[in-house]
Amino acid sequence: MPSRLTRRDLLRFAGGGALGVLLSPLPWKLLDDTAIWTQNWPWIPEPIRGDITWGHSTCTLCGAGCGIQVRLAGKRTVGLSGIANHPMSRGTLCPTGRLAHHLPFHPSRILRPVRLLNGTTIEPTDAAGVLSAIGAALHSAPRGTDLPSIAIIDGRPGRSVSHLLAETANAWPSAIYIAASGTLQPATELVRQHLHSETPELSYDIAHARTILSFGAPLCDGWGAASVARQFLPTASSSGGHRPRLIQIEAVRSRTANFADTWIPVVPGSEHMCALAIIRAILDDRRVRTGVRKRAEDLEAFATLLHRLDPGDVSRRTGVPAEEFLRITRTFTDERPCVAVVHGSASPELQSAVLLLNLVAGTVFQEGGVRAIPDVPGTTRTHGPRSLDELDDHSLALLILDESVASVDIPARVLERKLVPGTGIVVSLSPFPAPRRVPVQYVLPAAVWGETLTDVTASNDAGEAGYGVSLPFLPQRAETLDTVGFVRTLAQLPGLAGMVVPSAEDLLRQRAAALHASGRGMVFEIASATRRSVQSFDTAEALWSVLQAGGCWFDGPMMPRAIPAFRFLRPGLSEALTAQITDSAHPSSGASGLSLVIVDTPLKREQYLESPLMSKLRQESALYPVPGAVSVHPSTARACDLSDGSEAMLSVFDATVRVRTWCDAAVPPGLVMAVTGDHPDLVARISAPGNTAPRMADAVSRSPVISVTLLKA
Amino acid sequence: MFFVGWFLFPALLYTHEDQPLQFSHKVHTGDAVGLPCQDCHRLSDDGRFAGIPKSAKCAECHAEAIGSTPDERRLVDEYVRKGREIPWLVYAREPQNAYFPHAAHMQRAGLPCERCHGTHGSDETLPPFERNRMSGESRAIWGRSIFGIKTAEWDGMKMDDCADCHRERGVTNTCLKCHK
Repeated sequence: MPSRLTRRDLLRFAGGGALGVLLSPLPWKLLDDTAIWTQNWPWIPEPIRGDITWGHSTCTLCGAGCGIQVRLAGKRTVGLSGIANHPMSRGTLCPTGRLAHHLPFHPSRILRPVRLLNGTTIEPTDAAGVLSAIGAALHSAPRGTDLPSIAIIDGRPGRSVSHLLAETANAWPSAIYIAASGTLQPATELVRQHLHSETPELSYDIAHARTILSFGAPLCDGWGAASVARQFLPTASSSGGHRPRLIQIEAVRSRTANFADTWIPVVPGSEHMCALAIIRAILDDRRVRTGVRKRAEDLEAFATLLHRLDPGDVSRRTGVPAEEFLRITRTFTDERPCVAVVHGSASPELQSAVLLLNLVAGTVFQEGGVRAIPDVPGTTRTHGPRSLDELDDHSLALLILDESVASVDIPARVLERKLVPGTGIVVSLSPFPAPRRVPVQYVLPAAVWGETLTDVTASNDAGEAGYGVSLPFLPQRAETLDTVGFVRTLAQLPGLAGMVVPSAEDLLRQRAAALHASGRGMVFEIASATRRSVQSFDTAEALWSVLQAGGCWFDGPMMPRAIPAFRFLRPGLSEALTAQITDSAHPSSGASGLSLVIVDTPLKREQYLESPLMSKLRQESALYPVPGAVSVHPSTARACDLSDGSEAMLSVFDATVRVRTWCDAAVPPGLVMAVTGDHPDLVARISAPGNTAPRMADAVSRSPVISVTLLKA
Repeated sequence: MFFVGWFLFPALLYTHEDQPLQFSHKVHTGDAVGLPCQDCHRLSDDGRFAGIPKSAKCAECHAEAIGSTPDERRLVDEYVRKGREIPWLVYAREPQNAYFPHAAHMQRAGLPCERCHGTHGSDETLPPFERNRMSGESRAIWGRSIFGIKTAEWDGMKMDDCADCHRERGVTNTCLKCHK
C-alpha cells in the first residue's frame, strides 16, 4: 500500500532537519564567520604593510609650530607623536595633532570645487566655474574709488606664501589683504592706542609666567600649544617641570577651572567688572610699580575714575565677595612674573579691561607678561585692516579666504553687512565646505596636512617666535590646491596675468635664506637633538637642510624692554568705563531666568581640521561641549522637564535651534552652556524649513550673555 | 541535514588555492641547510615581525637555480631575476580587526614559533591555501576541525585560542588588547 505524505510527515521532516542542522556545525560556524565578515568590509582601508620608517615634520593645524615625529609603514603615515626637546612643543602633541594623518581621509572633505547656495545646498562645480564667478565679481566691482571692494583674508599670516596673497591683493585695484589675528593674542591694536607708538605683535608669555590670572581663557581646553596646557597638569610640578599658579575667573567649572589652583566662579558676563575691581585693588593697595608710575601719563585721572567703582555694587554684579578681590590681587602681584590673559574673541569690554590690568600691573613688555614678538625674518609686514569690521558696509563684491590651514571665523552678521547685497560672493580655499550665510559661496578643495610642502611661523599661538617646515608624506590629491596652487589659479584672471608664482620649495628656500641672513635666533636639529645658533651655519643651504629634516628655528632668550610712555585712558575709554561702572543692571537678568553662556573652545569651525575620530570622541563622550549640544545643571534640566541626552528647543531673540541637552553638575544652576559654530553635520541636521541656526550663532556673538528659553522638543 | 552540516558544508565553505610556488620548509630548516625560522622570517631589532621574506631574500641563495625542479626554475626566472615579489598566500594572517604583535609574543613572552605555527616549519610541501568563502580568512585561523575542536595546541588562532593562552599566562584579556 503506497504511503501517503501527510502534513505531519512534512512537519516531522522540517523539525528533524532543523534539529539535525542545530546538531551540526553549520549554523554555529556561519554565525562566527558572519561576525568576522561584518567586521571586515571590503571598503574599510586595510592597514599598510611594509617597512617601518620615521620622518620629522611640523604641525600646521594651529600656529603653535609643534614638532612631529612621523611613523610611516610602506611610505604611508600611520602614526604621529611629539619630538622630545623640541623648543616649540617640548615633546608634547595635542590629540588633534596626533591624528593629523587622518585628515586626508576625513569623510567631510571635498575633493573637487563646490558651490554652496545659502550655506546649505552643495552643488559640484569646477575650477573654471569658480574663476568665471570671480571674474564676474571683479568686473562688477566699483572702479575709480579708494574704497576696497575686494578683500583677501589670510587665515594664517606670516607663512612664506602669505606675501603671494598680499601681492595678489596689490595687483587688483580696490583689493585689500587682511591678515587674520591669532586667538592667543592680546588686543595689539588696543595696546597701540595706549602707547601712541608702533608696537610689534604681542603675545602672552605663559611659558615664563609664575602667576596667571585668566579671565575665562581656555588654557587647558586646547588654547595654543599642547605644551601650554601640560604645564598646568598636577603632574607638572612633581615631574620637576615649571608649574605656574593659575587663577581662573570663569562662570562655569571648565576643564581649565578644574586644573586651576583657584577657580573664582562669577556671574556670566561680569568678568570685565572683576578685572576693573582688581585694578582698583592694585591702586588701593599701593601695588603700582615705580616704572608704571613714571611712564603713565594719566595715572591719577585713571585712579579717580576707578574710585567711582562701588565695591558692594561690583560684588553684587559679579557674585564675588568684595574682600576676595584684594586676596586675588595680592596673589596675582606677589608672585612675579605675572600676566592676566583673555581669549582673543572675548568681548571688547573684557579685552580692554584685561589690557588695563596688565598695564597697571606692569606686565607689558616683560618676560612672563605680555611679550612683544618680533616677526620671524622674511615676514612681509602689511599695514592694513585686521578684520572685515574695519571696511565699509555693503562694499565687498568679492571676499577671498585662504582657509587651507586655518578656518577664518566671520560672524554671519558681519558677512551680511559687508558684502554687496545680492551680488557679493565668497570664495574660499578650504578642505571642507564651511557653510556661510551668503547667497553663493564657492569652495576650492585645499590640500591638508601631510600632502604639501608648507611652513608655519609660530608666534601668536606659541608665545614666542618660531619657524618650521611641514613636509609632504602623501601625494596631493588631483584637484586639490595648496595656497601656491590657489594663487596660480587666480593668476589666470585679468590683472594678474604677469604675476610670477614661484614654487612652494622656492618660497621656503627664500625664507631659509632670510633666516640665515638675519643671523638671529637658534636652530633645533632633529638628528642630534641639539640647538645651535643661526650664525654657526656657513650657508643658507645648510640651514634649509636642517629645516627640511624637520628641525625648527626659534628666537633666542627675550630681552625685557622698558614700556614707553603711555596713557590708561585712550580716546573714548573714559566714557566707556564710566558707563560700565555706573551701569548697575544685572547682566544675567532675563525673562526666562536662564542665561546662555558661550564657552569659547577651539572646537567651532576649526574642528573640521581635526580627525573625524576626535570629532566623534568629543561628541559621544561629552568631553568637550560641541555645537548642537548644551550643558545644564541637573537641577536646571529638571526645572525644564529635560533629562540627560534629551532634545530641546533653545530660543534666543528671534532665533530657535534644536539642541541636545547634557546634564553637567559643573555648570551652575540657571546657566545654559553652549558653543556656537556651524559644523556641517549640525547644519545638515537642522536644515529643515524655518531653521534659524545661523541667526543663533549671530545672536550669541552680539553679546557675551543673553537670556534664553529651553523647552522640551 | 545532519550530513549536510557535518560534511557538505565544510567542503563548500572553503576554497582551495595553490601557492604560486612549491617549496620545502623541511629542506631549509632541516639538517641539510639548517636555517632557523628567523633567517627568512626576519624580526627587526625592536622585535617587529618583517613578514614573509621578499624575493631579494630568496635571491641571496637562489640567484641561480639550485636543483632542477620546475618551481625552482620559476622562482629564479619569474621572480628573482625580474625582481618581482612572490604573491604568497599567508596561512596565518589574522583578520584585519585583530592586532597581533610578534614582538610581544616572541621577545617578551618567549614563545617559540611552533606554539602558534605548529609543524609548518618542517613541512615537506606547502598545502593548498583554504580560504573561507564567508569571511575571506585562512582556515588556519579557525583550525582544522569544523567545530573548532583543537587537535593540537597550535591548531587554530581564533579569539578563543588567544584568550585561553592569555588566561593561562595571566595576561590581560581586555578587548583593546587585540582590537585596536
